[in-house]
Amino acid sequence: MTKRPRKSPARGRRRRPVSRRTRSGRRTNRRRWRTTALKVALAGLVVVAGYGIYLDATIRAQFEGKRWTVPAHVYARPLELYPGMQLTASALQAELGALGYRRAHRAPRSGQFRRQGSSIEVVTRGFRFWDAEEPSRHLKAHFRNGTLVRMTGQDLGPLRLEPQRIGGIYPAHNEDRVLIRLRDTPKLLAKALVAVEDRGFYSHHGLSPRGIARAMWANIKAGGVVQGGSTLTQQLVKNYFLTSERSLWRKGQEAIMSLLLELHYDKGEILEAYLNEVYLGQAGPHAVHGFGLASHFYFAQPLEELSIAQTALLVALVRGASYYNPRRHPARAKIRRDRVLDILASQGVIDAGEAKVARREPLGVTPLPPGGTSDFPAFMDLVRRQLKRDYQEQALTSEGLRIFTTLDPRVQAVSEQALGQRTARLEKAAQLPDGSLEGAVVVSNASGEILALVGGRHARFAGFNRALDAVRPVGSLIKPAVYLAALSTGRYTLATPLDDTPLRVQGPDGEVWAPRNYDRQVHGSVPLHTALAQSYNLATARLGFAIGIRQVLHTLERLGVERDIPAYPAVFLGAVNLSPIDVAQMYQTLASGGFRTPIRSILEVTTADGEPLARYPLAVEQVASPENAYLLTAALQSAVSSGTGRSLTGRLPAGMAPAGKTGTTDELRDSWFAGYTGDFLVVTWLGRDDNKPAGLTGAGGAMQVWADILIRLRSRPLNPVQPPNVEYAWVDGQGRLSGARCSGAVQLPFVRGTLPTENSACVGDDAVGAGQDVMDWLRSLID
Amino acid sequence: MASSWARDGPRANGPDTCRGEERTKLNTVLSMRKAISKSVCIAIALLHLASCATAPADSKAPVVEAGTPARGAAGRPASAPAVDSRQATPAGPSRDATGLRGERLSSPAPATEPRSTGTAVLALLQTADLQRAEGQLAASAASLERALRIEPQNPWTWYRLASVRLEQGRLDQAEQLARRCDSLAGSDNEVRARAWRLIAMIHERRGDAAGAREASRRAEALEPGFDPAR
Repeated sequence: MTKRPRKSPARGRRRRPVSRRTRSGRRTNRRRWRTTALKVALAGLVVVAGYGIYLDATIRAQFEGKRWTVPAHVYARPLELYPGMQLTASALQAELGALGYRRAHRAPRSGQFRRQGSSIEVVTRGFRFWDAEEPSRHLKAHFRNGTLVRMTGQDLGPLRLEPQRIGGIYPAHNEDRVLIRLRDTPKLLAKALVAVEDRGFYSHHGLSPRGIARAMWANIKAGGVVQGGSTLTQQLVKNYFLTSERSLWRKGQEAIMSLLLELHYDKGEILEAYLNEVYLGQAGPHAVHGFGLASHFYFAQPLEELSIAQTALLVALVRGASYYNPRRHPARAKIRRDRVLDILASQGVIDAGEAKVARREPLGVTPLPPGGTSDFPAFMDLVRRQLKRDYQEQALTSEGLRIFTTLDPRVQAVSEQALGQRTARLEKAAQLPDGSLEGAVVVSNASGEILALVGGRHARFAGFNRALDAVRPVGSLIKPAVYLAALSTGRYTLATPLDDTPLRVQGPDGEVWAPRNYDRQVHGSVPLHTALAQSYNLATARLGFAIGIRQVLHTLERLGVERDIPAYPAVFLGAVNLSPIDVAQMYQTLASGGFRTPIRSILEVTTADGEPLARYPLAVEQVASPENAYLLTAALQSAVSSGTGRSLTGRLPAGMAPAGKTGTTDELRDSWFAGYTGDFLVVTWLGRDDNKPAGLTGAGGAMQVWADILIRLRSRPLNPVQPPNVEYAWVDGQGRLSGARCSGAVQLPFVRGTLPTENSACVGDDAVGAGQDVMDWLRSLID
Repeated sequence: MASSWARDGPRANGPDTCRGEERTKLNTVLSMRKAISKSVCIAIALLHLASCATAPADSKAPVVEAGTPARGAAGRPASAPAVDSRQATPAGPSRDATGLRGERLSSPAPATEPRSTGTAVLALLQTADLQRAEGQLAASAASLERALRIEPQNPWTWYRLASVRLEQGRLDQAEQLARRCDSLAGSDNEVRARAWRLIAMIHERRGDAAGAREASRRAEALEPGFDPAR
């Protein structure tokens, strides 16, 4: 482009002296012509030199500065292995499979495992975590009854497998790569690449006339373009600095830049750049650049584990990654790979025997590209939102940051499956239009780490992320806040009788609020724990008025609900719009014994080299007394065992004793369940995007999904630590002290000093004692 | 480096950037290193484990570490909270015992938990103690978080995390973690007493003498040999 205008003024100047020639002497003319020519040549030289300098600067700036934009890499939680953990051999095998470990039948090498009955022998790859280096280890894990019972091997401390890569944060131009260093690159790959693409790489200066001649000869022989004469250097320049325009001018530019590149940098640096730059495939919208990522993309394995055949396939792809795409055109890809193997054998890179064995190997690509496009769109969405608060877009998409998250792929898979299957069944049973019933799931652990996030029943499709954005009325899920507020006043115990009778409240605008119970019944005087477990609206509304709306809103805020909630009495019964993740935050505080624990999806952000940048540590803040939290959890346990959640009895493993609460909204539009066990807090929501009735109660819909998840996760029981100043006592249905054998008596926890003072008729007006209980029991036998 | 990435520094609920971490680490580690020789820490940490590993995992009785080798040695064990010299006030007779005795590592885990879980947690606590002794406070906290993932209700792990935060100068978080420890301790008075000692130190550092006295009083009431009539 810039050359042409430079030429034309030179020509113009040249013509003028010629026209004058007839008038002046010939000699003068010739001298003039010579001086002008000299000037022109000098000017041209200056321009060419200037252009050279410009190109030189371009090359150096790009090559020496940051050479590649690398998207942030996002990792799932690493799997911790320790004796005593609940893990089946199959689950470990699945995890290893997802990490690209190969099954071996002999003693495994790094990145391989061997399964022998109920044990798995594995050699881990090792990984540099931000807090410590996890070395490669050889171990054997023994399983029994769904438990990893024993680990044998050398140097077995607490052990983490490497984390799965679950996605990246991509820039607009969508390049993805995993950077590799030449010194870490397998020798075979470097040799094969040179042998196939540029035999003279180590002897030329950027251009290879012999290579061009050879290519031309081959093309003439074949009657078409079968071989390119470009050196690796030229290919790199073409990919890295230039557009794909094909012209002689661009060829020239490429040649100059190649020579300059060779002038400044040694062969190793150029080869390393090439290894990271070359285009090797397409993962959805993301271009796969470099061998580091290609190895993961096609084989789910790191480069250093690749076989000869696998290496040959990657080298084969250099010639045309989409034309030879091994997933789409396996036959074509195999022919090209075998051709590469032949070249390698003929040039002595591998021997004939190795080539023969390698040719027999299948392509061995994984069926689906792992981690290229995210398999976890809802969770990635959450991660991205959090990162955008703390980082600039550009840092996320180009610096190769490593982001360690809390996602547990196993819990995620279980949750997705449970939601997908259950919604399909419920939809059919409720005769809803196909695909109209939607849902969301949030699962976290005791530290507030989000293990799974499902944004809809078709979890693999990015779209409306209901776990974060479906802000819907929560119904009775709100009630624990009302009851916690009541307990916190110190005026209520779990046995305090509440008044479950109709009430009418006129607001300032004249509107009358007259709530009803779900069963349309009036229950009269009921103990507080029963009102919560049975989710009685009248008793709860009256309780709310007794302690005041401000107090309830304050409690909600303390529990971690950050949305603005209007101060209407209808709030007592859940006329509050929250998203599933808001609900998870609220219940996390209850599950953590009254300590608000911010839920997190990111644990750590490091630079590309593993240097820690920022961490998101476990943090807690006490917002309720341990005693009241304990009491409330006990009440929520009875809500599951004998209240609105009692249909779970028999479905869940005995003794899991979860605490939970159902939520149902007007005309059955929203079906909620929030509940926790010893290991997990799970919040489920079902409903329709068009907000029409879904025909499901909390127990009939969301709770079923909840149970499906918990059954598959195999959780430890909920076993809250009893605070020292909490004691248990038997009380009757009126909230009076009773005995173990009195009919309708239940054992409830009380903060010391708050036991009911009245006695049940069953125990008489006197002191409660074991003897009395036996008498009652005898009497009951006679009666 | 970090500053070019972080748009506006750490937020209320945002990440800790590592620079701040380094700074607080330096301050506390320097003062700590003077007091404690590293080798002593490691020896003591290993001793902890040696004695605890042999204890039955489900033992409810406090497995109090035989602290004799540590007694009289320079400084206190790695597990003891860092105290600066100003904070001699909440001492009392029991403080020496707290400072010099090892910790009970086995958890008062409910019987439903697999017996062998303890070894993984023990190993992580050992790692955390070593990291802490070497001044790698952030890494130590990370190891403790790993232990909490395995055994969320072990009050000793929470106590250690509180101690690490205190050493990092994060008083508020240290106090909250100590309270969490206390809430999970049940009738394990030893760890509860330690948690309240820690809270007393935090109040002391904040200059809240009344709060420190109150916390110390609670700690003393939980320590062996407490005489309510005194």
